[in-house]
Amino acid sequence: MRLKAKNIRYFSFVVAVIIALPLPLGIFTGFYIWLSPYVFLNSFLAKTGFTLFNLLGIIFLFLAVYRHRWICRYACPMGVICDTSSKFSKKKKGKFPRLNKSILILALLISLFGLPILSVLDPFYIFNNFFEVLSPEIALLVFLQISGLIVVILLNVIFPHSWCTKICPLGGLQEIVTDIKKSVIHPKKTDQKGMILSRRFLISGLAGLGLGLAFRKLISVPKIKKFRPPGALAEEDFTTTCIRCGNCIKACPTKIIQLSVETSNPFLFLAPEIGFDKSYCLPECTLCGDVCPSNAISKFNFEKKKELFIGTAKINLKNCLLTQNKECDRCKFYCAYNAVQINSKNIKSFPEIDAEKCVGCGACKIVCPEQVIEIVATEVVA
Amino acid sequence: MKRRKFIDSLILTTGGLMILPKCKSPEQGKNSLTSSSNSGTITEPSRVIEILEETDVLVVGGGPSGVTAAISASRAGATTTIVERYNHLGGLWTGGLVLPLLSTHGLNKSKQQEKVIHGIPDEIAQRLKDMGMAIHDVDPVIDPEATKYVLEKMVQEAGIHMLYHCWMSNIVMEDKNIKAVIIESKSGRKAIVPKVVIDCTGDGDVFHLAGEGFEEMKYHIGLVSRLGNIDRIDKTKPGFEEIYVGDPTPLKSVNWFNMHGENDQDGTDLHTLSKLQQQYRIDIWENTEHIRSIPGHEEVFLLDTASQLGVRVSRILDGKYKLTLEDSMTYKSFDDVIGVCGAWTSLLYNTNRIQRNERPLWQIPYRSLVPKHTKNLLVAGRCFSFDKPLVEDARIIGTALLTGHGAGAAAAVAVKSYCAVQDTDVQKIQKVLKDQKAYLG
Repeated sequence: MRLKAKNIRYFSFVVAVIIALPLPLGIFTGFYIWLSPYVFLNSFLAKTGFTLFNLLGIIFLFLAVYRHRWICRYACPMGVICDTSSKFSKKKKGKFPRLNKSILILALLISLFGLPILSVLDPFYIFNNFFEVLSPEIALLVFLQISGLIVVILLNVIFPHSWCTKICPLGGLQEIVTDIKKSVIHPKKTDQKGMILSRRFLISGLAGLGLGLAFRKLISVPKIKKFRPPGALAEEDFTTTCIRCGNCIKACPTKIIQLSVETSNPFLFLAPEIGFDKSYCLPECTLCGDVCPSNAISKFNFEKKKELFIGTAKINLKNCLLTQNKECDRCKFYCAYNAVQINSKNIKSFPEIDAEKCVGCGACKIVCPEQVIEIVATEVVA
Repeated sequence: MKRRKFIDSLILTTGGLMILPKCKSPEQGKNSLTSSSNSGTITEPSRVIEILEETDVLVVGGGPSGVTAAISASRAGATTTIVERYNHLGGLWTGGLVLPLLSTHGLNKSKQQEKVIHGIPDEIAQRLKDMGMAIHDVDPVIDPEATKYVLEKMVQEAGIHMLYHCWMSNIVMEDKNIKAVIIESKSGRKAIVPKVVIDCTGDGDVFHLAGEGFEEMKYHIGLVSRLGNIDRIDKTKPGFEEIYVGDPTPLKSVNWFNMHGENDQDGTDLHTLSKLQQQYRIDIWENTEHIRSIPGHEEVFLLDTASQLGVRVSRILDGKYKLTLEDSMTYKSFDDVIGVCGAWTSLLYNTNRIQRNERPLWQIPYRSLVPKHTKNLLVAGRCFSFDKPLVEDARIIGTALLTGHGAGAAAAVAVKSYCAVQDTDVQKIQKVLKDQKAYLG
């Protein structure tokens, strides 16, 4: 029996739903975003690095070359939603401008300036983020995350099939790929339609360049020091290259990565940051680096993690049990980086932090029975 | 000449190699003072040793675990002897001035703080309380001299043969049995022939000699001291400053002054112990002088320093069962439970912070006192078989008292039923413990 494209897509839809659910999926958290060549290209142009999972995006790009809109046909979970929601539309065909290629050009050009911000229009991304609806918190953030899919559905109800055929930049990418393929195979056949579209291309290209330049000017490194996940790029690069997909937040086993509600600077808004209120960064975990599709958090291993500083522990010795000659060694006992030494002078003992070894994982802060340890920003160790 | 020298050193080396496996002391080579002789060792001539006595149960070490072990065994009908290196009972609890009896309470399944220390340990605590020599109902702090007195009384009442001022120096093994324990004293080297030995040395000196496996843990070593005339501190004196002068004891005028020490100290290394002893002796005196120099503290004086260093943990037995932190956190119930402990440390468990008052009570199984190979040896006190993350709750006075109680009852049962400690009927042990009012959950 030959599998129909439709059935494969339904299967893909089910898998996508499972992956988007808040389950302990480890490195497969938010896995579908890796499949999108659109997200890959944006991040790639923003020069954030390259990891093995990025190959999936490239493979999918080649599949789109092999067959027109292959991703739409076989893989995209958004397709199912768009087709279903379009059925509720009263119109048979909506008049909606064809924007997909223009959005693509715009997005890629802005990405060139280090801002893969329009990755948020990726269908895999929108689909994935919708499942924040299952989040136990009810906040503006959650609403923002789930609104993407709602907008898409509304668009399709008003203008049937408008998302997939007219807006989706991943669709646009696949169309351009096909255009290029055709022009290579039949170089003489000039498409009139392509000529018309080229005006739009020009406008969106210029807009992209303009916006990119403008953003570059606007970016100012904020002075507020935030605790970013280990392996995060330098603050300025991190806040601009992070596409706010939420993968690291979902993958973090101790749930210490949270969305920032910092609004003082637009580049800080919604960027993941670490809060040490309830738990700490596990020494044996590398998940946030593994699942980051934009490489704003670069991949790292256990060995490298020893050099990735989130911050540094600082002990308020005045209220430390040890300095009061009480029995305690919790900070030392639970330090996986051997960064705490208990020293003594004149029969008084006191813990000392080795700033070169302390990565600011927060284990000592959490366990300290007197709560006298805080994590502070790392001073740049020369 | 050269050839003769070569032959000489060959003989010395062979001699050295022969003595090493006999002692079963892998540490000896490492820690021995390097002598000027070529091989760094010397052969001790073998000699015939007089048997001092035969006994059912021999308890090596008269610390908190040794005392409860001996009392329990003796009350259960076994002739019992304690070998103690100092001049008092109670070990680190009394002479070591580690005065708090941690942990008498733990959280039970209905989330209530429940008293877990009963039986002989509680009898000791109750006697001290009745004498006014213990303060606080939970985790009482005791007076060391009163405790030495109470323990002495109880040991005498139980009819235990007490040997002070002697040091266990070796054992004679015969087919996985300890045939004799050699002690060293002013009367010279003597042998004691026991049916069962209980290792209450704290450092596991006996199981180490018996060749049992163990984990080494380098930890903090301190030296506790006491300050007198605390009630004469004059807070109204001009220039008075608040300074730490220790924590209260049952004696109004006396505070005990804990010392933590640095990490990674080897409690079985002669040089470490000597170096720390020298340093702490000076430091404690000078710190007291500093306290006395602060206006209002002139009358404070150094009452005493502990008779031994506060080695918190050193060797930990690889016994038949290694008690884990998880066992202690999950109300793990053991068929062979011999005691129930409380807990006093906050810790990280499954990435969560668990506070002291959230720690469940936990059971000690008999198997964690039983070595893997030696048939007539039990282990009690801070060196019984547990996982390192449990160390803070396993090394304390309360746990020592409880493991001692369990080991003593088990030794008596093993003697009566003529069987190896590994094959001793756990239900019989539990019956003895219950008769002695122990709490088994």
